[in-house]
Amino acid sequence: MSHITKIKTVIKSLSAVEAACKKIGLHFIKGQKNYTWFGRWVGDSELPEGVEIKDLGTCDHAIKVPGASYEIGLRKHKDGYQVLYDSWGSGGLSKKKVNKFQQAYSVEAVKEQAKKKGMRVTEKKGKNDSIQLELVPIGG
Amino acid sequence: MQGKILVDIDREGNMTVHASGFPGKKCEDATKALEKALGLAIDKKKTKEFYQIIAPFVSERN
Repeated sequence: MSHITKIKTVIKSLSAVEAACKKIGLHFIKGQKNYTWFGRWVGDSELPEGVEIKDLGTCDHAIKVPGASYEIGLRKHKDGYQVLYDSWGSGGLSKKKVNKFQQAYSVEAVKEQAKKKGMRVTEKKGKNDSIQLELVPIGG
Repeated sequence: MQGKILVDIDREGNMTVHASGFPGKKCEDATKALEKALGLAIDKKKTKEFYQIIAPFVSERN
């Protein structure tokens, strides 16, 4: 058989977060309970699912991005972590920067799972800034 | 044919997983753990199988 599955990535592995941060030059701060943001809710965007105004700025782990004064927060949600950040210009965090982290996380999470399953991984660049991974059973 | 899994990760970190070459149900088994560990499956499709049909040799002896 052959099948295709589309997956919306959910951050579940902190070791993959750590590996992704190391790979793209971010600093993962395990256990930091606050992330830096504007500090006051101005209502210019929707709140993420399950997050109330009082929760903003709180997290379970944080990521420091070089050159940005604001930080990324990882907040426990269902069976994974939500990625929280403030994209207000002066904080230096853009959607593009956060997406880069999320893509790097996905790569590391796949590699981690492949290793557990005894599969060899080959990485190459794909179209439109995508990354392609090929997983083949070792000895298969 | 050797089984393999191709994972395409877009610039937002979301993935398209394509498994092929695994016999029968092993194909879905091969990606199930991966899907569970990586996130939320939002769409799943079975692709067309490629069969190699070996035509019987027809003798032209008349």
